[in-house]
Amino acid sequence: MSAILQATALGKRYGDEWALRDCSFELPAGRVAALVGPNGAGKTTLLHLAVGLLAPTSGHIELFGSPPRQDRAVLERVGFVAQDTPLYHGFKVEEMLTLGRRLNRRWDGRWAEDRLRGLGIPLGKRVGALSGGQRAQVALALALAKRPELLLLDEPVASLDPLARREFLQALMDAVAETGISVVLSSHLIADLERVCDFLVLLIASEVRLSGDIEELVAAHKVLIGPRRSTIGIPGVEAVVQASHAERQTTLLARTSEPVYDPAWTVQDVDLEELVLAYMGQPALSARPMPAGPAEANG
Amino acid sequence: MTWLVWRQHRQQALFGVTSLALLAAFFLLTGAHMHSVLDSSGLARCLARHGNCGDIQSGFEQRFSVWRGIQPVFLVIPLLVGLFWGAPLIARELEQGTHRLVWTQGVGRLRWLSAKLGFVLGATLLLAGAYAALATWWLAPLMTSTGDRFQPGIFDEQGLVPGAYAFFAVALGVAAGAIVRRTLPAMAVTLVGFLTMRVAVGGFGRSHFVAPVKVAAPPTPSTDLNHMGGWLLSRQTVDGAGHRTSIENAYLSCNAHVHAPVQTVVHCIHRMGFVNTDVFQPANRFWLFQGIETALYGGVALALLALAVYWVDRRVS
Amino acid sequence: MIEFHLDTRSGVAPYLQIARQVQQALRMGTLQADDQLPTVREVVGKLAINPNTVLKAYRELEREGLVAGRPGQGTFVVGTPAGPPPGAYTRLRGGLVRWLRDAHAAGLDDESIVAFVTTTLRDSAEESAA
Repeated sequence: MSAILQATALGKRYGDEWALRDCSFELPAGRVAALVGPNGAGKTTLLHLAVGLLAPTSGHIELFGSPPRQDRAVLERVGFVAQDTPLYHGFKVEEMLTLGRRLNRRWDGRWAEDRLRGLGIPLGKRVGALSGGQRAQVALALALAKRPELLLLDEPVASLDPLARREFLQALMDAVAETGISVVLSSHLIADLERVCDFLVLLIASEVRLSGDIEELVAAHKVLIGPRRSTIGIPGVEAVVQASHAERQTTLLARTSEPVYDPAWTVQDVDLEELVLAYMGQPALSARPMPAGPAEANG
Repeated sequence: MTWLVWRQHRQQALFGVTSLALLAAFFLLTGAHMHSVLDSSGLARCLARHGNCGDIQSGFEQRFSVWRGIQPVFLVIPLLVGLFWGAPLIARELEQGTHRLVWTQGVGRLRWLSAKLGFVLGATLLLAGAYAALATWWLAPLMTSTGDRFQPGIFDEQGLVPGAYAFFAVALGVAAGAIVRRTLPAMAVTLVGFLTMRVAVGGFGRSHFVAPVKVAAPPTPSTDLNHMGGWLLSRQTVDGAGHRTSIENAYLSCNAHVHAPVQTVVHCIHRMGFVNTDVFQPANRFWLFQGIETALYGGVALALLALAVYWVDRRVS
Repeated sequence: MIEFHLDTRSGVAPYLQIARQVQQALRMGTLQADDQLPTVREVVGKLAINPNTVLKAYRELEREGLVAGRPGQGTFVVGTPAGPPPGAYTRLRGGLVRWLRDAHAAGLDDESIVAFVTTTLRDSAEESAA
């Protein structure tokens, strides 16, 4: 499958500080990707580079094989909703749709109107008088009415209440099911995105630490629990992401290239949230209960 | 883009047109009155004959002293256009983040900017031009009487320069908004920048556009000391010994009064060696100076617009 | 029409949860042959999950021979899972409810009951294998 979005050694510097440094990853088409990282990790910078609002300082980024800033045809195939869903608050909803129709070559206004009416959002109401959740739906409808092949969303649900959040994700998944569109959703909370995304790009301190299919990533990592010992040179373990040593027990989260057969280790699966937290350097393993030791298992 | 530009600026446009309409009504009503009195009082005929019109002149000027008093108020107009049409143009979008919406549609940011600038600058030139034409016509009777049109403060409200000031103010506002990114600070920068430029050019630069004319001669009653329609920059009278004095003193020394024979006074002044040096810009340079100042402001405005375009293209995210 | 629900904390993959809910409904008789499963869009619009998850669940069910897709129409039930006859659950339920009452009366809480059942299941499996 060809990559719909490709970053190669992408970097962006402001003065002395690198907001993004040496980022490389490939997003295949037809995925819903989670762009995850702590605040300040560079998620917004990456999205702005992808959509042509910023120019890279080093490296390059391509959408559909073309750089977005130079090739304006790329913008017509991408929908973007910036953080805090900017809209013209003085415009009526239908005027926002007119804006989209006038500024875009491909535009399905009828679809957008039907969708918003179906959500109970009156077209004649001023955008400023809508609730936060309704504004998010308007912004999403605007981005989708372009009939894009790729949708980029910067923290779209961060400031929404749980109900509005659910409704937004429902609307988004419905659009994905209907059109097969690819999506990149950024968030600093992985819990929001777990059930919706099947691809992960993890940004920590301006660098891409992890990227790939979520199922494959989760399958490639295991938690190993065993008697306290060194973590070097365990057969099957490619790299130790996080290690925690208690008085008599060592708990590891490791990337494994093949099954770990050493019977001294109890091997458990990870879930996505633990995986992400471990890479972020947060204590992910301390909540693990001690497994039944050999004596108890035979009990 | 046309739809979007109109939708975003229709309130401003309406306000501008309404204000112009109100101003026009004021100018036309009061101006028509002044024009007719200029005729009916006989002042026009008197001045055309180059007669001694002093009495009629003071009567005329006295009658319309209120309008003369009000006249400096209109100096603010170009600044207001720059503050309310120029500063928010880009700053407001950046402040509210809507540039991230409107620049990621199918239209690129330069096309967006040129459409917005085209409308606002075009409207500015149109409305400012209309204002300037009306103001020039309105001031004409008073200018005929006082000969003040080249004077600082009055030069600024006629002819071409109000349009140039407004164009400059908007360009300054737009550039400030692009760089500062917030509307109120951009307005502050526009205010300071506009005042600085106006004071620098109007207060110091304008007198040097073309080397002034210097005339040194004994100050006789037949010498043209009024420079009607011109701009007197400096006057120095010295007596025979080279001491600084005044024209009044010269006349006093020569017993000049209404009934004194002119020839006697003239001989006296020559004999006593009074010399008056006037440095001035002659009246026939009025339109030349208007043109130079317009070109100056226009050039600076274009440079500011280029800066704004560069900034939006390269530096804003 | 069956309605799915997801337990995000159960540790079971979402697609498996959906597949199992279909299997359970078939066993209980709430889903019968020729019934239509909800479309991917319907499920996704309710649960806000990735459409691929639903597709995967339906593929799994198709692999097990329980459902089949009809082009242009949707996914329909074609078989029943191997398992106890429908009446078995109803019959067993009464006894289970009584036993649970006994267990609670004896002082076991829900967690202890689940652990007790799990351990006993495991033990009896080992015994029958031995």
